[in-house]
Amino acid sequence: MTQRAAECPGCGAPLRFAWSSAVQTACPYCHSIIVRHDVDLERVGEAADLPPDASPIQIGTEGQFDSKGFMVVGRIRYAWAQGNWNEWHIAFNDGTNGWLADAQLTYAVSFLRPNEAPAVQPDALQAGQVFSFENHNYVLTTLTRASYVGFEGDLPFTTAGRQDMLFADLRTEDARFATLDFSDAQPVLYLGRELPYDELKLKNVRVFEGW
Amino acid sequence: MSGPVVEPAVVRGAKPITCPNCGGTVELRGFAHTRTAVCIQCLSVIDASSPELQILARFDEKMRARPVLPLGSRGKFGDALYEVIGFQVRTTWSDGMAYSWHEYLLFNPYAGFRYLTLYNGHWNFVRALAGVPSNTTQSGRKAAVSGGVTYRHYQHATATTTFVMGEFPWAVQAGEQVEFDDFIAPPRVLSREVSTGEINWSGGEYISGADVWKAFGLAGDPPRVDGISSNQPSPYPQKLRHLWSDFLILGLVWLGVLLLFNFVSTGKQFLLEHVQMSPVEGAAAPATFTGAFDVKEAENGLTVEVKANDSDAPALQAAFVDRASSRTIPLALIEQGPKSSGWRDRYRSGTLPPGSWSVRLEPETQELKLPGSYEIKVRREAKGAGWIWFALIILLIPPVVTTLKASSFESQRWSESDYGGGA
Repeated sequence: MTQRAAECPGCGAPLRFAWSSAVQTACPYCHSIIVRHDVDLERVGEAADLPPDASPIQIGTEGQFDSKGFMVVGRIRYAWAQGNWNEWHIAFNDGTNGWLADAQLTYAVSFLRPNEAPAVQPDALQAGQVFSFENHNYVLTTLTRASYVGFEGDLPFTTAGRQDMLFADLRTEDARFATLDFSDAQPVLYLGRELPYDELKLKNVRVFEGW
Repeated sequence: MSGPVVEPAVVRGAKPITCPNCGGTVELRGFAHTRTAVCIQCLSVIDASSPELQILARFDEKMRARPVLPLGSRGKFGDALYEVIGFQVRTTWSDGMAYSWHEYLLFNPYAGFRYLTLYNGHWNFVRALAGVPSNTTQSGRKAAVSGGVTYRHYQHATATTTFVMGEFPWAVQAGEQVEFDDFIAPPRVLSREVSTGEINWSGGEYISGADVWKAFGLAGDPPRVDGISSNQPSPYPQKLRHLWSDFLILGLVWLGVLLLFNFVSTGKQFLLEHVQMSPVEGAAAPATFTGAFDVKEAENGLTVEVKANDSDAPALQAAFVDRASSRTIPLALIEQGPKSSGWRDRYRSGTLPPGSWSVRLEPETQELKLPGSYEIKVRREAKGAGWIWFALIILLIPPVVTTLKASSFESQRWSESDYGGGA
């Protein structure tokens, strides 16, 4: 993993990308939202402070998935009818990336599967439907209407224009996990697995008062 | 991995809120996860997720139930400590009867949320399932498969939330109804809850009240156990395995004794013959012989039955005669009796060596006055020492009684299910 030295186009402070392929980041000093075009950095706005949450995870938390070490480099916060959750952007030692979701303290790691999403209309979805991805049957368990709250750290895409979105969560009998993300015109598929907190072997987690 | 050096940030506990209805203090234990909190004084359900502290509902004071695990107490399950932050009573109605159980919401800021359920003194430790069980059928009934284990459908019902206390990471509604199905594979249970647009599966494992008390370090006794719960592990299968394997061993010993001492022999008929005897004018009646029958191994006591169809038929004497050596084995008369028509004599022999034998028949008097028609039967009677059968029955008592108890346990388990006989 390389760290490119750069300057924030907003305040001139040094910017360090924790993930070399980051497309969007936020300046930790002036909170500018910065989008990278090849080598040029563009300030596209100002990031709002994320409302407080109670996730044990933070930028810089390290962990393991399938014996591969990762570090949390960014996150997107979403809100839905029953609260908030984070999609933590995780970068692995080998340069690949994935996502660690923490909704109501259940943890799922998933990875983008380009061009594998089925051509389905969100209106046609309902709980109980079965989809087959990579030879496993996934049952649609939850349809979540969510809104984009904000982000921090390094992301592999820009969040420009994100507002309301629909997610379909699917699961297999053996705890495989899939999300169909209907943020864009074409649905995007993420595949992964839900796993207990202990298995993530997280380090550098937040400390809770009284615990 | 290189990266920014991270100082672990400290998450402060949420400040208590003031009940907008009665002004009481409502403590918060679930950090920013808490969506709704209930005022312990006036039972107002408060939206704790926004500063307006809107009252969403109020529970009826009449429904107030006392949690046996106090809010704020902590218990250790596995490697993690969990704090009781919420308590709710859920009720289902069946045939006009209300069945209520308690659910404790447990919280650990890292491992997340768990539940302890309590029904009639029976506890379950419950967590959300990471996978979705697949549907199947077993013996014609609905069943669910999870982690390679088949769970049998127990009941379908509607649960209504009738009382809540503490705080929850979701919006609590008074009288909220959820349809659920329970599937059991003791000591485990799977529950499938369906509410608008969502299917939620959870998995529970039976835990004794004593273990709950130990986990929380509580003094005194847990609530008394009443009846048998759906996924309570039966104490009998293991006992039964032992008892039947003991029986198998003792049964083999029993069989050995039986064979060794020949306490039992099966019956066998060696001969059945009809014999006519006619008087010979002025001469002594000759002896008559039946056909021969073979004895391959020495027989210890054969029975000979001589039956006459006419009560006037002359009495006879019988003996075994070896056809080759003319050796005679006398027969002892053991039973003599008239019959409704005719008469019957029964004899028993001593040991009969192998050979080809006949029954020799002679009239009791020197002279035969009348003709007679007789049926001669030679048999080995089936016999068994009574006590050896009694011993077998005694040996059978423990496994059979326990089998019956196990079966009764299972029928009690299913009595409150959708498949219960009486209910």
